[in-house]
Amino acid sequence: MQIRGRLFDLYPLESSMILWIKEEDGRLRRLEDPFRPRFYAQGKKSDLLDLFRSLQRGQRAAGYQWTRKKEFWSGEEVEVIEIEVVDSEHYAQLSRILPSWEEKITFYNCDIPLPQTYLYEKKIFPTGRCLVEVEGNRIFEIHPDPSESVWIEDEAIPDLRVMELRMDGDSIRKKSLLLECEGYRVEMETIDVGEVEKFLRRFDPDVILSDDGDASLLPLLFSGEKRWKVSIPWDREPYPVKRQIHPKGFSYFSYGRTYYRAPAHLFLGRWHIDRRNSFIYGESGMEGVIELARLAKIPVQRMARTSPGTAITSMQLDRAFQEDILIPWRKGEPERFKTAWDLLVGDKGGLVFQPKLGIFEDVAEIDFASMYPTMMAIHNISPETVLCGCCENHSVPEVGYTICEKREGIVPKTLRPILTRRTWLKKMVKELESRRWNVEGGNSPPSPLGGEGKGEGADCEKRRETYNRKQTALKWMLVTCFGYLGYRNARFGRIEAHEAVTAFGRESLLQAKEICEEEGFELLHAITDSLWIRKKGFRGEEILELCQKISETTGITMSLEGIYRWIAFLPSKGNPESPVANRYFGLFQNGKIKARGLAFRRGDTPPLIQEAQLRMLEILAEAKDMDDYRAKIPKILDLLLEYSLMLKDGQAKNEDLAIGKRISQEPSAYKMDSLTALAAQELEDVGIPIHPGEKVRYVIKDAESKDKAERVRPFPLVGPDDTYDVKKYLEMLVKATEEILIHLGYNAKRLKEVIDFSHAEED
Amino acid sequence: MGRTVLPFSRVLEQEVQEWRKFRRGLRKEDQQFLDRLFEEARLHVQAGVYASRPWPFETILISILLEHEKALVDLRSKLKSIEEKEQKG
Repeated sequence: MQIRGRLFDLYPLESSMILWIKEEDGRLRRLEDPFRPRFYAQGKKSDLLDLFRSLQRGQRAAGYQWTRKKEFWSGEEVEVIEIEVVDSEHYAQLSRILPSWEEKITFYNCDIPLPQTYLYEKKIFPTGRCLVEVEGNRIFEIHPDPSESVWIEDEAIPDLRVMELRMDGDSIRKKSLLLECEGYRVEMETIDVGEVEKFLRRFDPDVILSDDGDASLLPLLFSGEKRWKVSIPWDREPYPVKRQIHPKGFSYFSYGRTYYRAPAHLFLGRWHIDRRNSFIYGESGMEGVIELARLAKIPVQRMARTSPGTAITSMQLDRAFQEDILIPWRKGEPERFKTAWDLLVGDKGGLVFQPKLGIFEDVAEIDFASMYPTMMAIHNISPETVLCGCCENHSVPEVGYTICEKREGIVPKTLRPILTRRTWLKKMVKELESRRWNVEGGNSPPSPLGGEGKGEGADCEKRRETYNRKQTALKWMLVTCFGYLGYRNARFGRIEAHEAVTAFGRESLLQAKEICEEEGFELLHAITDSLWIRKKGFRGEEILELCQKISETTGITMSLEGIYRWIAFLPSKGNPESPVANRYFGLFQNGKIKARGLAFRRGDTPPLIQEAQLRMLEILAEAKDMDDYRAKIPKILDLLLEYSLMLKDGQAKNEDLAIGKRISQEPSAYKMDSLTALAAQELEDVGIPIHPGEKVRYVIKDAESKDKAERVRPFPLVGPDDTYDVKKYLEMLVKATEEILIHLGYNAKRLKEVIDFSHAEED
Repeated sequence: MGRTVLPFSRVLEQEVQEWRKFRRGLRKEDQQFLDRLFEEARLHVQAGVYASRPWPFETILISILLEHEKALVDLRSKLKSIEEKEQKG
């Protein structure tokens, strides 16, 4: 019998792959496909046979055959043994068993997550349409639907039953567990696992969306199940399977910050997505998670918990698999790759022209679109093509490396379709944006800092948002792709390839700068792939022609980000004379403010101060030029006064004063009594564990107090009677205002006079 | 990690560190001028990165000279316009 449907979930179980297929009538079916994982080994025939026999004796291997496959670095065919492993559990143990053979034998394809291998082999993907030949529950053959492709516009799986699971309430004392599905809602102040069980049985949701399910809610419920001898049907497997929690929670370091990732609690045949434990969900929502799961052939639940880098790597593995290329074994702990991000982005080797300080008119910002990935695609930069050994062209600027002309690299091959798709998605976003404007009437632009569309525009807005989320997910994948290229431990990494990309990048930025200067523009600021240029009274078409010219010369699309009515470049926080990259704000001609590095964008600024600065920016969004800007000063000072009075009168609410900071080490490991460390320690003292990389939120009570316990109060412990440090918060307010007015002669000192700061100090 | 050459921005900070003893030996009122010199060098880091010359201190010196030349030109023209005004007046 043939069935049609969409692939919902899959996982290995003993010597089968279990697939959950959502049929066209909405029914979800559990199917089994006998599946034995395979790996490859290269070496002397006698050694390889010894290996097989040894594995067979241990009842690990089921069979073998000789075959020919391509070696990754040279691209040449080699003879290898293909060994079939009895089941998924034994495959997982290979990384422990094989190292003792490594002196004589080279191993391939021995550490690829099995659901991925299965999907590569069958050419199907999560949420994709497939045709399945079945007898009973057993799969004989499975194909992708011929009309299906990851590159077409997809529609979400219809009729998914979604349940929400989260804690409600702010403070730890009056929290209740909230379950919600199809408009039905249960709130419990004390957790009743029996109720949870009933709820799950009654609704049998396809998706459980949780907040902090991985880190706290599920562990809490699991222990409740044990205690009350109740078993909640989290999994849809007909017979209970021992729950595997993998990987364990860990803290990692990336982009100069420590993060905490909670252990993953995946369900069988049901999606559990923890919105708080998913980078991709946080950046691009469910649409982004699904987009990447489809492209990368990684099951949705796992995709939600992994990085965009794992997604791009999986796409490369898929490519290699389709081309019969042997996949080198990647050693080292799987977590370690995270540190790569830091290395890469921290030191990306892009050129930065420090901005000229001040406020400027007649400024345009132009950006290279996806500069680094495009560079890899057009110059064929890939680990196996840089310094290939067969060609000699020294085509990489500065460093003079040669890039292969005979072979197309695996990285460019993987990237090209992603780039095309992202361009298309971005085009759709733009189109829908302009349509929305027409619907709403072009004369009333939306709020300068972004806002929701209403009425007729709402559908447009929804579609625009979907496209936008997908393109954001792709953006992250593209960004990390460059990163992985430079990381030695990455499977497809090579430092020289990374260097080649940055060298081409510098070349293109300098070419762009030169073209701008030839056309009479002055360079104000430039960062890696963006330039801010100025020319008195330039015309719009002039900029478009300029972009065209740069695109033609460099081969990378240069596009106009926007023309500013005015833009202010801010100095570094430490030194008011020293310029610093990426700290500016300006008003585009379309009425939108663009701001980077300002207080309101930083998580460690309390909401009240963020709000104050945002309101100041909203006032400036009406300033058509510099004179207008100057004319707004009194209004901004009024706001400063308004907020300073609110602070002084003790009217500010604790939630609005919360400062959120990630801790970078164990609370007890801090040597200095920073406010953040004190807050974290206080939490630990009352038994709330907190891991490096998790955020603490706290209110400053009295920063100078001799009694350490009185300096800060972390969030769940703040009570209504806690007062706050007026002086500290006023200082933050003044600094936020200074960012807005510094170029108009108002520094912190002068602003403090405005709000009578010394008086506050005496209070 | 796999980098053979330090990026110039870091080389510059290293160089600043190497002048720490010299800075300490200066009078307090003079220290700020030394700091300003290095600030001037920081303005042209991107050129230093791109050029990646073998002796970074040369790059630092030429960056400082460049800022001085700009300042001189600026001062000269200001002085000239003041003198012209005075002659007329």
